[in-house]
This record gives sequence, C-alpha cells and structure tokens, in this order.
Amino acid sequence: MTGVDIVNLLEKGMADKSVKCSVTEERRVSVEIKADDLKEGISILLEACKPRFITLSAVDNGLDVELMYHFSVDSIVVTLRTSIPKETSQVETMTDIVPAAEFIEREVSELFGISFEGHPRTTNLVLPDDWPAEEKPLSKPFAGNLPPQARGEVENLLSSGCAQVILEYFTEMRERAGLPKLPSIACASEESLREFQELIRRTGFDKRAGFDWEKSKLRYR
Amino acid sequence: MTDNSSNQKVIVFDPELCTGCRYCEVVCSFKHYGCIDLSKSYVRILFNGDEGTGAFEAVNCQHCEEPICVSACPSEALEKDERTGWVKINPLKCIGCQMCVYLCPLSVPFFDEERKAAVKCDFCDGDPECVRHCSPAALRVVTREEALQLNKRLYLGIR
Repeated sequence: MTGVDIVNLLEKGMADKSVKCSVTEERRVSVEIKADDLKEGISILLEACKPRFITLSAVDNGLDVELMYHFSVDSIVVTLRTSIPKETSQVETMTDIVPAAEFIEREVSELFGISFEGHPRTTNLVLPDDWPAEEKPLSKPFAGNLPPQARGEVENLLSSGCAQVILEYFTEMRERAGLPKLPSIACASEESLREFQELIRRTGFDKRAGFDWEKSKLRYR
Repeated sequence: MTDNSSNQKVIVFDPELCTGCRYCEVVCSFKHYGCIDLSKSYVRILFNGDEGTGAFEAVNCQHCEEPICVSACPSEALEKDERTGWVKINPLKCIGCQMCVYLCPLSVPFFDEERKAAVKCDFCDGDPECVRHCSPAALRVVTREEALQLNKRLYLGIR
C-alpha cells in the first residue's frame, strides 16, 4: 500500500465529509479532519489497513489545540490532524477503537486540558494526585498572536471596516464642515465592507487573529 | 492435545511484528500494581541486541497443558483451570518457596518481595491488557492449536 492509496481510501470513504488528505513527503500522509469525523476516519483506516497506532501528539497554538493521531501503515506514517477550539476543549475518545491510545490521551488531557469524552479512566497519570485541576502545565494562555494593545482596533476593523470607532461627535463635526457623515473607506458602504471582509478571509488573518464572525468579536475577549 | 485444550485461548508473540515499545509491560504493571514499573510486569520483552525485525522476544506465560509450576508447588497454591486452561496462583496459599520460579523453563512466575509470594500472568480473566494495548498486534490471543502452528513456523521453520 502506498501513500496515494491511503489518500484515495480516505477520500472515497469520507466523500461526504470535509477531509483534506495529502502526501506531504515520501512515506508521510497528512489528513486534516474535523473532530466530529475523526472516529469515522480512524475506523476506515483500521478496517482497511490494520495500522499500528504510534502515538498522539498535541500542540497548543493559543486559540486551538491541534491533536495528531499518528498511525503506521507499511512504514508509511499517516497523521490524522484535528483542531479542538479552546472554548469547548472536548473531543470523543478513541480508546474504544484504539485501546493503545488510553495512556497518551490521559497525558494530553492532563497537560493540555482537553477532555476526552467517554474515556475509561480520568484520574491523574503523569501529574501528582494533589495537582490543582485548573492548572495545565503545557497549556498556553487563550489568546491569538495579536499584541494586547492592538486587539480592540483589530476587532473594530474586522467588524466595521474601521480601525477606530467613529464617534457621533465626529460625524456631527463632519456634517457641519460640509463633508459626508463617514469618510470614504470600507465602512462607508456595505458592498465595500463585504469586499474588505472577503479579503481578510482569503488572507486568513481572521483565523490567525481568532476573530469570530458570528459574534463580531475576538474569541478570547 | 485433547479437543478441550486445543480450543483453549493462549497468548502468542510474533517477533516479526514487535516494535519494542514495551507498552505491554506498561499496561500489565499498571493493571496489576497501579503503577508503571516495568520490573513488575507479568510479560517481559527481551532485547537480543540485533537490529531489524526479530530483535525482541517476549517472555509470557504459555499456560502449559501440563504446567511444571503446578506440580512443583508444595502448597498447592498454583492451580490450572481445566475449563479455561489458565494457570493461576492463589497468593493466600503461596508460602514463597520460589520453586515455581526456578522450575518454569521461561521463569515466568517471579517472587514479589512486597507480597512475599510468587506472582504470574492471570490472563486478565479472558481479556489480557497486554494484547488489547499491543498496537502492532505482536501479542495476540489465539487458540492453543493455532499457537502451536505459529510457533512451529516461527521457531522451527515448519510451514
């Protein structure tokens, strides 16, 4: 079995789900998958290839925790990646289909604060028993890569198209001076605001900054 | 081999699949002692210093058809369950003479200094933890008949 075969297998088996599979280099396959579909993806892999579970690794990137389940199929390392938002920090356990993941899931749970739903044991494994429950040694503060002083401005910029909030006083002053109420920037018209926001989405700045479009604010504020 | 014993379940080890992660030892000691101490595991992985496949060998209880540990025990602490085929130690009866440790060809039972009794694999009452957690499936539960075939192929080269 080659890396391309594994990619085809997962893409075919999960055609209705959003899965990004790629052969990143020789003997390495990367699969980006949503947390809800993770179990299904692993089940397909288990049934078809009988892989060996290597380990689970976790990376805290501030806004989300990325979980990577590594499997070995005929010396090819298949990595299933999923991002867990820190607001929920919950994911279904894989121990019922991959029993060998039991200890490493506990370790990730203790060090990063991810709760694995349905895990058979949840007591401390690597940390002392009297360790404070809210303290997670490898967890970073819940924040994006924006400096604190820029957060307010970025929030305004992405939601309204203006870096600064235009106070009523200024709009009055502009009217008195015979100018249009708002300056001719993105926030002046709905159409240009949409275009501006589309540009932000395409560059991926919203994801890096941790902006929630539904709530029109940063996730960690 | 009788019909009953050929269908009994045993643990087999395939050195071609073992990666030497020793996870079986980790989970065994954790299940029986509540701590991760490889020296307390009932299954042991040996390294023979070679490279590549076949570099590891497991020492695990074969739950022999005619267990020498049972016949060696002066206090009848060791018993073979005729139905399941599992050989178990009753720690309350064990007097700690270590005869089973010396006489077992694989030295599977070992003397637990804390309990002052011999301990050995109890097959985890049908679902061995070492097998459940062995990710490359080097440790497997098969019938005694299948185990014999596999071991003949692996160690004697008979196919």
